[in-house]
Amino acid sequence: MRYAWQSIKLLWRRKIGFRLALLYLALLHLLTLVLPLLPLPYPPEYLDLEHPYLAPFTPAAIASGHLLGTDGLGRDLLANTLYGARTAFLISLPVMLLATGIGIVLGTAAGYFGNNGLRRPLHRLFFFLLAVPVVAYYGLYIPWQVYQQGAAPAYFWWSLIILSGLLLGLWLLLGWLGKRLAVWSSRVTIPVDKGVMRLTEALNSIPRFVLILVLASFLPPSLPLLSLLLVFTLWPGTARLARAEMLRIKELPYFEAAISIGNTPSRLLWRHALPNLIGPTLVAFTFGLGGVLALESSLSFLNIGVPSSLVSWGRTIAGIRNNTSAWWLVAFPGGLLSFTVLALYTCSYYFMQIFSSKSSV
Amino acid sequence: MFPYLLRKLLLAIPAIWLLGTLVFLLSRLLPGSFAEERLLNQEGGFYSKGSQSSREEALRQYQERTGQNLPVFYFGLTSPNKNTDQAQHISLFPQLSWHGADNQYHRWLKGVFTGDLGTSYRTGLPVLDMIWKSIGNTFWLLLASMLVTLILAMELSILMARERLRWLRSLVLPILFFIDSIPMLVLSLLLLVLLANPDFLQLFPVYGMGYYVPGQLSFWQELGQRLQYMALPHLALVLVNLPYITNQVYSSLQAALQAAYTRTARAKGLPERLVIRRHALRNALLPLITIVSDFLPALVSGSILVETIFAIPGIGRLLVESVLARDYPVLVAIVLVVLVVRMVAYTLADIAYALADPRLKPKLA
Repeated sequence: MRYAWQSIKLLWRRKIGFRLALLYLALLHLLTLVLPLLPLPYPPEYLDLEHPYLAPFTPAAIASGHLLGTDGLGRDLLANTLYGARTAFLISLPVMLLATGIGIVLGTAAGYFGNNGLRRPLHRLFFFLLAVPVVAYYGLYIPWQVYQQGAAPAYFWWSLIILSGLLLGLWLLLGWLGKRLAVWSSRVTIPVDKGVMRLTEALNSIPRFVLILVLASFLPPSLPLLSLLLVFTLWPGTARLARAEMLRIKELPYFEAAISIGNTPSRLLWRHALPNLIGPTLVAFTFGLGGVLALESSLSFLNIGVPSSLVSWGRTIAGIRNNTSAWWLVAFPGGLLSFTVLALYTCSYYFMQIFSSKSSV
Repeated sequence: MFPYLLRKLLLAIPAIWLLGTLVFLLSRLLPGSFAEERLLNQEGGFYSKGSQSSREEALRQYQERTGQNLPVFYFGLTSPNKNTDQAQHISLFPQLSWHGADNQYHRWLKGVFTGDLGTSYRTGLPVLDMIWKSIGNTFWLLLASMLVTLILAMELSILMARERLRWLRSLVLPILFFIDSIPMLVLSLLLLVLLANPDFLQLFPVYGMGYYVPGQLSFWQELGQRLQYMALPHLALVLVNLPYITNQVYSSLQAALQAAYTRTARAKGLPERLVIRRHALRNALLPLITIVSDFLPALVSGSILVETIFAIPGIGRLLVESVLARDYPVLVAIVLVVLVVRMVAYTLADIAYALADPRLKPKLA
């Protein structure tokens, strides 16, 4: 951890491109955070129907206060571009953080345990297998039905009570079986690696954009659902990377030494593997963030998966479809988007330089 | 070689079946369907003049005609007859009920095996016809842009690899890095605004695939018209894909130039042009096969945006329109087509690898 931090500080001192990119990102981020406090002439959703398609920097635009012009409904482009940045970060940062988290957990587990590293008693395994449908029915299906049909909340509480009762009963029953019969307490290997890899392959077999579009059409357009969908399709990338890095780390002498002095698996992963994983994941994280920004604006451009009341770059850019001569609708939000992606890619490039050169030694 | 391919094929079929089934079930299980949205909508729409009961009647008839009133799967958690007033009833204990073979999934699967993917909700046409009509446009778009990208990437890397043209490398690589960071959406719209706009430069026609001409055009006339209209979409796709492919080709060429056979070729006194073209490039092209087949997903997602923006009637545009209309049969069919195309592409890549690299043949057998 400290090591990664020091390398970043070194980069900051030596590379001017990295410093510029990071400064730009930090400033943009700060701007999006304090945006509601700024005195903008118009809010993003204000329809100034007197001034549609105002070209930027013309006398009419400056006189009416729309410095960067307006779109077909008279919405101020400056406010829309800045609030679009806010939306883009609001979606892409949590999505990417969550996807990276899931990817690291599953990837390191796959790399560390391999196909026969994780052994659990049979009765514990059976418990988890039986718990999945029980939780799916009482924890998800019934609450969903209650919510959908507007039934009495008593049903919800009853289902929760049954759920916890069933889980407790299953745990006790199978634990008792495990103590009584030797078959039930025999240890079974769980092929973690195979499972995770098959899952990533299945998700990767359909192009991501197609998968997102198709799944988004099944769901009602809403921001949280779309974010979950993005997380669902993005985690395999990080998982593969984390798995490959974990396999590499496992072969390093220091890790062998750490195993030999009797560290517990959790301590091994947390203290010894994770700090070495941070560099490569940081590279993938910054690179992926640029991709998610582009993805989000493409989706809102197509008006798929996001409510049309959401202020975003893609929605503003989509205004060009009605009026091809309104170049400013593409130039300003698109330019900001491209520069943000460029800054992220630059950071990713420099991270890759330091982390890959150090890790190859 | 042949047993290896057969094994791959046999492994791919269950995977395609599983994924197709998942997508199908998801599309039917989640609430809200095309017909409900269209027919039960209170405001506007074609059926708005009728009363609520006539609308519900129309929906029921429509569902009966298209088989959507049937249960989704072989078994379910709720009883199949929804007509009785059971909507308010929630049972705390799962009631498994068996629906038999007459369900939506069974019909769909039977249709898939007999080559019938159903009819579209939106247009009422057979899905296979719709896909067949649009897949040609996408295919030519992708193939032509991929070929141009590959040739450009190869020539650029050969130029950059030469010792005397070092300045070119320090010029081209940053430019490619910059182009790479412009998202597809912004890039193609910028091209549209800059090159197909009376306010700037009207070099190309804007939308579509050409205009209707009575009578048959000669081959060259038609090609000329097509080229005009397809120039901008191709340019957009080439520009978007060029940075990544060039990077890959260049780094693999660099690796080949470090190899021993290149040193031998140099020692023989061959001119550098020949060293690069005849000795290094041929070996550097091997990884390219994998890169191209791995690149398919990015290509597909690129074509979705390009087809939507430039109004080309291809698969990508069909996908977007079907998503917007919640036209599930088309969506499920497109997913199946994409899976099959991907499998074919991987198989072709394997064959190409075996043909290009004789060392691999014994391993694949």
